Amino acid sequence: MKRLIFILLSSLLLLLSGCGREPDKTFLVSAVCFENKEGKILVTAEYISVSDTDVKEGYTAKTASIEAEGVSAAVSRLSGDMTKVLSFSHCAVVMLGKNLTAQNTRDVLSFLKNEEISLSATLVCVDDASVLNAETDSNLSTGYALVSLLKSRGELFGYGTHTKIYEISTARKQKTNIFAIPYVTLKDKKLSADGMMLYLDDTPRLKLDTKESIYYAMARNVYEGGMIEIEDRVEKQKATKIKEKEQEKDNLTLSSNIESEEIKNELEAFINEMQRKGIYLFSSHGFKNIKIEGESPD
Amino acid sequence: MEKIRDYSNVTLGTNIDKNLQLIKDIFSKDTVLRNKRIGTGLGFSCVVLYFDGMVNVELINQAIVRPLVLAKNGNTAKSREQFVAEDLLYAGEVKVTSKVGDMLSGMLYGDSLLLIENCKNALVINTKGWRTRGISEPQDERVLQGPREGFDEAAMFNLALIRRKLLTPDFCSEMLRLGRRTDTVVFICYLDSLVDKGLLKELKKRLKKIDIDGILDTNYINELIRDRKGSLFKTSGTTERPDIVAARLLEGRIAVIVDGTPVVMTLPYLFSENFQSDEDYYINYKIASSARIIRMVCFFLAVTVPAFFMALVRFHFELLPTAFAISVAESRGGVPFSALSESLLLIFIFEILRETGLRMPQSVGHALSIVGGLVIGQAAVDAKIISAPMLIAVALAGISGLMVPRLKAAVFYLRIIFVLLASVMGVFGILIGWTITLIHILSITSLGVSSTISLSNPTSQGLKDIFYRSSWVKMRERPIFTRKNIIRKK
Repeated sequence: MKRLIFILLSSLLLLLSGCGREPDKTFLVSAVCFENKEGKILVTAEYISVSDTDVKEGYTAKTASIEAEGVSAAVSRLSGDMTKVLSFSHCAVVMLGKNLTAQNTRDVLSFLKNEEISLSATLVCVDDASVLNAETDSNLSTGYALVSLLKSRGELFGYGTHTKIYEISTARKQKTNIFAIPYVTLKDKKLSADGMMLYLDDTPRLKLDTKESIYYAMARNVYEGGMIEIEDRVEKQKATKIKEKEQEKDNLTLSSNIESEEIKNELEAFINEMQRKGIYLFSSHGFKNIKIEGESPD
Repeated sequence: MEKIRDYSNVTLGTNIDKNLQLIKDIFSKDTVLRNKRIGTGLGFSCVVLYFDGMVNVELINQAIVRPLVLAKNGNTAKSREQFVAEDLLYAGEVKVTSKVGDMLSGMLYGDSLLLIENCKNALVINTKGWRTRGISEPQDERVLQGPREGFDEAAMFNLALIRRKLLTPDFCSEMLRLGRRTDTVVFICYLDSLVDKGLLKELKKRLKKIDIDGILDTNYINELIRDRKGSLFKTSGTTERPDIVAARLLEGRIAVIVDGTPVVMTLPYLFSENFQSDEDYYINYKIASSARIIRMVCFFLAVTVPAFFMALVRFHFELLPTAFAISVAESRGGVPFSALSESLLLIFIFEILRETGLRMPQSVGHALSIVGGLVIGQAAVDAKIISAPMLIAVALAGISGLMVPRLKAAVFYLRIIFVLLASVMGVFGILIGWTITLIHILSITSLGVSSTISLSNPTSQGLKDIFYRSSWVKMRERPIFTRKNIIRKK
């Protein structure tokens, strides 16, 4: 009896040992772009192709695209057309085309939740998938080069690091229903990320330049410190914290640990301008005037 | 099967020639039996019989032949054999017996047999004198610090080496003979005041049940008396060092010495002993403790690394850093085997290299390691037969396995089982594997004592020689299975 169980278990183990995926039988997707093309979804994937033979050792980044009615269908068709299985496990960047509708954006974000794609992948907004053809100094792929670029800009200016899929999901759940992701364009065939795209109700609403992006990050309490240009000089600003202090009729008073009066005034102006455009950066909104006091929050 | 004739109830007659012929007939096909007739100065003759090569001939001449030839006065009230044994011979140990069985077993163990004219009894005289290898440092248990003497193949000599360490009348040794055809001498040693009598009784009971043609090494006994016969883990300790045996006896354990092998078995055996080194107790306890922790980590690595790598590559590829993931995919490109076949192949190749290195002469072994490990490994990677990351994973596991030689068998089999489990279920397979392994380890017993008794009955003292080695100042108690006389140091 013991022998029979042993033989059965061993056979089962050996039969099932074919499960799993061999790494050389997959294409690693480094970036994926979703666009709206005449009502259909156009998916473009940048993947790393590893040589199967030792004739020419190494790897190259290639792109492939396909369009379909929906997001899932497009990705499935794209995978089906490839010679190897597409693996999204190392996808570093998810690009949302500027022309995606609110429903398209929602479809993409819900698709990302179900796919094997890492929730720590960065979301960016692009004009179109041509960004993936940028010339970069990275020897891997445009997707990974873009992540490095965003990271270095984030470290320099203190914003942009909170744009991972799970962070955007959290932001979308808040009452304000706004989120901002880096806006990446091509400038002279090179990647450029000089600002953020602000989404309101899952629709790209407003393009923020670098300075506005910094103030947006401050207002959303995700600013981590960096360089800010004030007129002709550059000021170093530590991480900030904004706190709602007092509400009185149409007025909202905020407290902040920002020491520079100029930065404080500019931030105040930015927040009020956003209010006027109907973009409420705080959970309690509907105020005509927002003021920032210089007290440090706890 | 042809039965061995039983001589235990056969006795001698009074005719010396017939008695001599009886012995000669028994060993008619043995070419090394020697006999020498001695005409004594007392008017009767004797015959001394022995096996050439097993006795000290000089001792026979001086202690038996010379006093018999030179004897002059033989008028005493004692019987002739009593007189010869007690008043004439210079030998240290003389036994008077009438049973042929006793005579044969004595002769076969290096004693001389003295047949006396007109006597029904003969004398079995201790004249053991075979050549031994002598004291040398055991090759597998080398230490940088501490005693360097090791056992050899003579049980008596080994017993003496232990006794030299334990100068106390409390040290007991009991002799028994095992093996239908080899009639091997086996000693059970213990310290009477420390040993658990129940364990001693259990060991004797199991030894008595042994019915086998021959006992040529301690492992014969080990396999016949062990608790979990199918387990991959050891249930008895083995050593070639007298200091280790003495230390274990001082912890209330029992030692089994088998004639013909330098390996001495100690019981009961705790699982933590797999991670102990002979040197642990001769060097600073802090260094010994760190080395012990490293050995435990190495056991874990030796079993898990190839399986974990397999799981990462096939099921949890997203856990690998991107650059490394691409490097793995790149190195796997062109390799004709699946990751599973590749890892199993490498594990077998590593075992072949290790085994060959062990069996080869030392100088050739080194060359083989270089050729096998470096040249063939590099060539195989370049030829895309295997991938470099898998080679590194298996090599790391292999080298880690060498740190725990007492778990050699367990590591080898577990490594393969874990690789198979990981290839089916990924990291979950490894978790399942470890869960089952840990349950098994907790269920192992040695001579009825749980091999993890210090963990199942944890005490602050009991844990001081498990995961680390505490200083002698703090280790006041013996292991818990000693049950009585637990205080080691006040």
